[in-house]
Amino acid sequence: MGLVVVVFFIFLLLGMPVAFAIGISGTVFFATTPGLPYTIVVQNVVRSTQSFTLLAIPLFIFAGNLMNNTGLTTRLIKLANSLTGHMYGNLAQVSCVLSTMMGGVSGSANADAAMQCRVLGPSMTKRGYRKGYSAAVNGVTSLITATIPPSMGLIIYGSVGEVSIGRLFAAGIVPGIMMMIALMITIRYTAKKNGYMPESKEKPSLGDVGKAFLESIWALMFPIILLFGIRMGILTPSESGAFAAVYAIFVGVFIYKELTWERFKLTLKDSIRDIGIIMILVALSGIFGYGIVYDRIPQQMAEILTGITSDPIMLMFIVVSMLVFSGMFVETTVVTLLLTPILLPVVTRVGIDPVQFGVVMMSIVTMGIITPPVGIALYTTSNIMGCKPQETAKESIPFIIAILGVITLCILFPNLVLFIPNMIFGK
Amino acid sequence: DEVYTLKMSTQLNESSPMVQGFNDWADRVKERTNGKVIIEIFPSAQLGSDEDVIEQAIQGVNVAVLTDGGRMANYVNDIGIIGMPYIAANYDELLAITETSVFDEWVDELSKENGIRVLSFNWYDGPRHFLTNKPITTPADLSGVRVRTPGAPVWSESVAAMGATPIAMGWTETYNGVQSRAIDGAEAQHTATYGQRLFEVLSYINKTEHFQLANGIIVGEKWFNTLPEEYQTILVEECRAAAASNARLVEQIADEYEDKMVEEGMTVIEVDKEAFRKAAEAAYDKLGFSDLRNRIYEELGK
Amino acid sequence: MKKIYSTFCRLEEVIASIFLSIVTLMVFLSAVARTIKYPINWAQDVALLLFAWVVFLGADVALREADFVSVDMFVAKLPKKLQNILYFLWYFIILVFLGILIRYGVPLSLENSKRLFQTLGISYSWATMSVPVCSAFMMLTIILKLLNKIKRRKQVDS
Ligand code: NA
Ligand code: NA
Repeated sequence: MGLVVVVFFIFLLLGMPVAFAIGISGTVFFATTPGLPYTIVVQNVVRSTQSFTLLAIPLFIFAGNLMNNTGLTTRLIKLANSLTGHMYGNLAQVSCVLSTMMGGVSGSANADAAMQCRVLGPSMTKRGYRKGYSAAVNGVTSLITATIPPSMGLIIYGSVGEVSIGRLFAAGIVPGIMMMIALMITIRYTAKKNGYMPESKEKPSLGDVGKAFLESIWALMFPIILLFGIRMGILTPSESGAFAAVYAIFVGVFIYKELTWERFKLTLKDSIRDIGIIMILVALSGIFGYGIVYDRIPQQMAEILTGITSDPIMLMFIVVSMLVFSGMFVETTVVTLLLTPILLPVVTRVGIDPVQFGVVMMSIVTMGIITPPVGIALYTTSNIMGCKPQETAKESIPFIIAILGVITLCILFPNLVLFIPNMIFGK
Repeated sequence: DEVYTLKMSTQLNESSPMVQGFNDWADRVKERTNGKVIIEIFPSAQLGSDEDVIEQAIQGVNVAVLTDGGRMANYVNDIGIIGMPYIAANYDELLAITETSVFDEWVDELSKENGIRVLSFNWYDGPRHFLTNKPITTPADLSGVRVRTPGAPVWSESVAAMGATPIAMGWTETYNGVQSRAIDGAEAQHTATYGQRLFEVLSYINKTEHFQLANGIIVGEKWFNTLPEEYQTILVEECRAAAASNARLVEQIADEYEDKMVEEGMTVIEVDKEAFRKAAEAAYDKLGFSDLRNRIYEELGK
Repeated sequence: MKKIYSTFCRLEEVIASIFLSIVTLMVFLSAVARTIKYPINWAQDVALLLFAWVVFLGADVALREADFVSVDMFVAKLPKKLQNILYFLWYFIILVFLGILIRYGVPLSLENSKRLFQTLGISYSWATMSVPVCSAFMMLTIILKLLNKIKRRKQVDS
C-alpha cells in the first residue's frame, strides 16, 4: 500500500485529473498483490454507485439545479438579501443559514455543498466574491448540514458502533448550531477584510421583509414540507432529494410557471454532467478503498495508537488528528465503516462517552470532504464555481479553524454535546 | 512452506456473537496448521456486500464469506428453500436438512458449475421474530402493518404470506424508518435487533420464529484449489466444528439479549405459531417450493 | 462521420437524462406507495441500476465538455513544453486504465451473470456493464480530444 500512496501523490501533484489519480494508483495495488484479479477493480467501481445512501447526492444535485431554473432560488435569495443585506458578506451568511435550515432535511454534506454552489454561486460571483471564497463558504458550511439531524454519517456510526441513533441525533443539535454561529462570525471578519460590503446600510424594514417573505413562500415551505414529510414518515432522509426535485418541478410548472420544457431538458443535462464529475470520483476511490481494507491499514493504525497514551483528553486529540488525516484521504462513509469498530473500543476504554465521540468523529471525518488532497466537496465546489481547488483550500483555512474550534469545545466540554440527549433520553 | 491467508468477510458487526465464532475458527485453523493458514476477519461488510464478496471469491480472490440460502439461490435455485418460513423449527432440524443427500447435490452443483465451495452450512444466527408497536398473535393482526424485510422474493413473499406488508429497506435505515413511522416494524433475529437498538423505537417482540437463520461459509474454488489437500481438510473440519459450538453460543446470547430488551421496556408476545405456519404455506406455493419440501421431509422421515 | 458522432453525443445525453428522471421518479413513487401501504419493492433496485448508468454516462458527458479537475499548482510552474508532455502522458495512462476496465469489465459481467438484482430478477451484469461500456465511450472522447489538441498545435506551428 506504501507504493500505492507514493504513486497517488506523484500523479496528483503532477496534475493528473484527481479522479483518475485515485483510481489508477488504487489499481497499482491490484497489480502488485498476487492473487487479486483486475476484475475486482471493475467491481469496486460499480459498487460505489450501488448505495442507496449515496443516491441522495445526485438527487440533491438535480433538485438544486431545478431550484435554479424554476425561480425558487431567485426568490429565496431575494428574501435572504433583505434579511442579511446589512451584514458583511451577506450571500455567504445566506449559505450558512441555508445549510442550517437544510440540515433538518438532508443528511449529506456533499449534496448540500453542490446544491448551494449551484444556487448561490453565480450571484456571489456577480457580487464580486472571489470564486475560491464562494466555493470555500458553500463547502465548509455544508458541514452544518451533516451535523444537524438527520445525518447519514451518524446513522452509519450508530449502527456500526451500536450506539443509540436517537441519542446521536439529539447530540448533533448543539454542535450544529455552534458551527453556524462560529462560521457566521468568521464570515463577518473575512468578508469585511475582502471588502464584500453590506448591500444596504440600514436594517431591513418590516414591510420589505414581509413582501420578500410572501414572494418566496414556496421556497421557504420547501424545507418545511420535507421536514414534515420525514417527521410524518412519508419519506426517509435518503429519499428527501427525490421529493425536493419533484417539489421544485411542481412549483416551477404550476406556481411560478417558469419551468419550460426546454429549461427542464437543460436542467437535466447540467445535472448529469455535475453528477458525472462528482460520482466518478466516488466510484474510482472505491478501488483505492479496497486496498486499504485488504491490507488492514486501519487495524495497524489502531495498534500504534493504543501504545501511545491512556489519558482521555490526550488520546482524544491524537485520535482526532488521525481522523483529520484519514478524512483527507478517504471517502467519509468508508472512514466511518473502517474506523468506528477500531476506535470506539479504544476511546470508551478510557472513559470517553460513545455519543460524544460519535459527534466529534463524524464532524471531523465529514470535514475531510473539504480538505485536500481527496476532498469530494472541495473538488465539487471548485468545479462548479470554476476555480482551482488550491484557491478554495486556501480560502477555507479560516473556516476550517472555526470548525476545529467548535470541535475542540465539544472535546473539552462533553456536556455541550450530551446535555440534550441526556435531557430527552435520561442519563 | 508458504503461508496462506484467507480474508473472512461478513456484513455483521464486530460485536455480533457469530464473529466470535469466526475468530474461534481462525484460532483452530492457525493452531492445526502451525500458522500456515491465517484467517483474517473483516466485519461490517468492509470488503463489500455479501454479493460483492461472493463475486470476488468466484473470481479467485482469497476471501470467504458468510452467506444465507437466498444468496446461494442465485446460483442453485433450490437451495433457497433453506431460507423459507418454518422449514425447520430449531437449529437441530435445520442441521438435519443440511445433512440430507438433496443438500449435498446443491453443494456439489455450487462447486462444479459455479466455482463456489461451501466449507460448512451449519452456522446459525437464531430465529427471526416480528417486531412491532402493537401486539401480534395471529397473521390477521399483521394486516396493513408495514414490516421491513430484505428485498429478495423469498423474504418478501414469506412476510406477505404471513399477513404483513413487506417493505424493502436497508437494515441500517430501519431504526430511522420506524422512528419516523415510514414503516411500522421489522422482522429480525435478536442478535441483530439488539445491536441496532430497535428496542428504543419498538415495543413488542412477537415470537413467531418464522425464519431459522441458516448460514454457510463459502470460498472460491479457484483459491481453495491452491491450498494443499491437508490444509483444505483442516479448513473444512474446523469450520464445521467452530460453527457447531458457535450455534449454542448464539442461542444463549439471543436469550440474554431478549432479557435485556425486556428490561429496556419491550414486551414478549407468545403467538399462535400454528396459524403463522399455515399462512406461510402460500409462500411455498407461490415460489414453487412445495414439492421440494416434500422431498426433503421424505428423506428426513417426517 | 462528424454527424454520426454528434448524434451519438446527443443520444448519450438524452439517455442519461431519461435515466435520471426515472431514478428520481422511482425514489419518489416508492416513498409515496409505501405510505399508502402499496410498496413498490423493486423501485429501489431500478433506481440503483440506472444510477450506475447515469454516473458513468454523465462522466463521459462531463469529460467531453471539460477536463476533470486536477491540482495544477506545481504543473503551472513548469515550462510549457513539459506541461504538454505531462498532459499527453497522463491521458495516455488514463487510456490504458480505461482499457483495463473494458478488458476485465466484460468478463466480470459475463462470468457472474447469475448474480441478481433480487427484487427485479434480472442480472446484476446490467449494472456491471455500465463500467466497460462507458469506459469505451470515455476512451473515444479522450482520443478525439487529444487529436484536436494536436491539430490545433500544428495550426499554431505553421
Ligand atoms: Na452552505
Ligand atoms: Na442533517
